[in-house]
Amino acid sequence: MKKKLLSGIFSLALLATAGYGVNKSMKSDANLSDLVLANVEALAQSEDDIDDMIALCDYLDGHYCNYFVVTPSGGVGWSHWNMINKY
Amino acid sequence: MCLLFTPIKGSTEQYDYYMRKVYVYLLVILITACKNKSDIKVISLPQPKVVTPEVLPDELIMRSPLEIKSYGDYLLFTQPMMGKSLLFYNRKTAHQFYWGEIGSGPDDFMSASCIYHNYDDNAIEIYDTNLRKMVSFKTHIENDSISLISKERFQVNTDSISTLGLHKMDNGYYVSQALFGHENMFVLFDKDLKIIKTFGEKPIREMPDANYSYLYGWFASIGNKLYFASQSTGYLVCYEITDKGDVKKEWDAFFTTPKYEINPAFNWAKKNQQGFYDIQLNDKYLFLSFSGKTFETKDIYPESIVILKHSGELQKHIKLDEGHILLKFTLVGDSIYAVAIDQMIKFNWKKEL
Repeated sequence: MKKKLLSGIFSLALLATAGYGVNKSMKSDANLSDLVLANVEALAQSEDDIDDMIALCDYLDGHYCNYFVVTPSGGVGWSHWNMINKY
Repeated sequence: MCLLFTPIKGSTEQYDYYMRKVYVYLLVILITACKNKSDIKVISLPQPKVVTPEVLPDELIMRSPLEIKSYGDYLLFTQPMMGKSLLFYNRKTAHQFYWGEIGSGPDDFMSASCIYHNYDDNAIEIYDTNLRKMVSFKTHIENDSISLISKERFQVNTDSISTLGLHKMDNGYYVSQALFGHENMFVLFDKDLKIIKTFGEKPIREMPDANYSYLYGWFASIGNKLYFASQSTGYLVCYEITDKGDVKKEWDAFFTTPKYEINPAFNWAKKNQQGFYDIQLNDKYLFLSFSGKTFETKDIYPESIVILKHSGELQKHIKLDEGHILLKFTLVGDSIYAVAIDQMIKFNWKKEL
C-alpha cells in the first residue's frame, strides 16, 4: 500500500510540475521544488483519495474537481480546488 | 399517422372526431417543443465599459486562492497552497504571512474556506469541505501579524448528502451546496450546524438527478437575502431565508444560455459557457466576475465584472482591458482588489457606474 501511495505522490509531483509550468507563481524567484513539494503534500493527505484524484482530475487554476466515490457504506463526495474534472 | 386514422367506412362523424384529436395532439407537441426548457430568463449583457486596473507591485507566493476576504487592513486568501491554509497580506505595509498547516489535526485543514469574518469582533470561522469540520477562531493582532486561537469546533454531518462549501448568513443560518445525493440544490443548517431542510429545485430539467456538481458556485448574503452564482453556468439565484428558517425564491436568471441536450452528462461542463467565478456584495449592489467563455476557447477566465442591484436589476458591465483577468476579488470601500493567475490588481468600481 505504501508503494501505491508513493507512486501516487510521484504522479502528483509530475502533475503539479506540469500545472506549475502553465500557471506561474505570483513570485518569480520562489523555489520550484519547494512549491511542488508543498502542493503535493497538501493534496496527498488521504491515501484513498489520491488515486481517485489522479484518475479523475487535471490541474487547472480557479476551478473545482468534484467527484463521488462509492463505498460499502454509501459513498462520499470530494472537491479539490485548482483542479478540474477530466472530460 | 394517416393510416392509423383512416376513416371508418360510413362514419364521417367518427372521422372528424379522430382528426380533431390529431390536431390537439399536434398542437400540444408543438407547444411543448417550443417552450423554453428551463423557464428562466436569459440576460444578455450590454456593451462593457473598459477599464484599466492598477497592477499592484507586491508579489504573493501562492496558487490561485479559493477566496479573498477583506479583514481590516489585511487581505485574507484561503487555500494559497504552499502547505498552508491561509495567507494574510497587509494592504498598507505589504507585510505577508501564512497561517495554518495542511493536515487533519484539530486546527489543521485540507481545504480551508473562510465562511465568516468580522474584524471588529476579532472573529474568523474556517470550514473544510472535505474534512466537513468548522472551527471558529478568535484573532489577535500583534506586530503586524495575526494569530488565530480556536474557540469552538463542529463536525458537520450531512448524512447521504455530499456538500460543497459552507456560507454563514447574518441571521445565523448556514447554507451549503448539495453536490451529490439529493434532489435539491442547497442544504440549510441551524446555528449548531444541524440540517434543517434542503431547498432549491434544479434550474435545468435535463440535468442529471441528484448531481449538482455541474452547477457548483459561490454564495453571498446580506440580511435575509442569499445569493448563489454558478461558475459552471451563468445561473444566478436569490432566496429569502427568514429568521424562522422559511425559504422563498425571490428571483433567478441565466447570464449564459445553457445547453440542454448534452449527453453524456459529463460533457456538460465542457460545452457550456462558464459563468461566475466569484460573487461579492455591499449594502447596495451585487458584484460578479463573469466569464461567458467555453473550454473550447483558448482562455476561459473572466475579464468582466457585472454589477446588479440586490433585486437583480443590471447596473453595469465592466471589462478589464487586454491582458487582465479577475478570478477572485473583494471589495474594500470603492475599490475592488482582485487576483488573476499571476498578478494582483485594483480598480475603483464606483466611478465606472
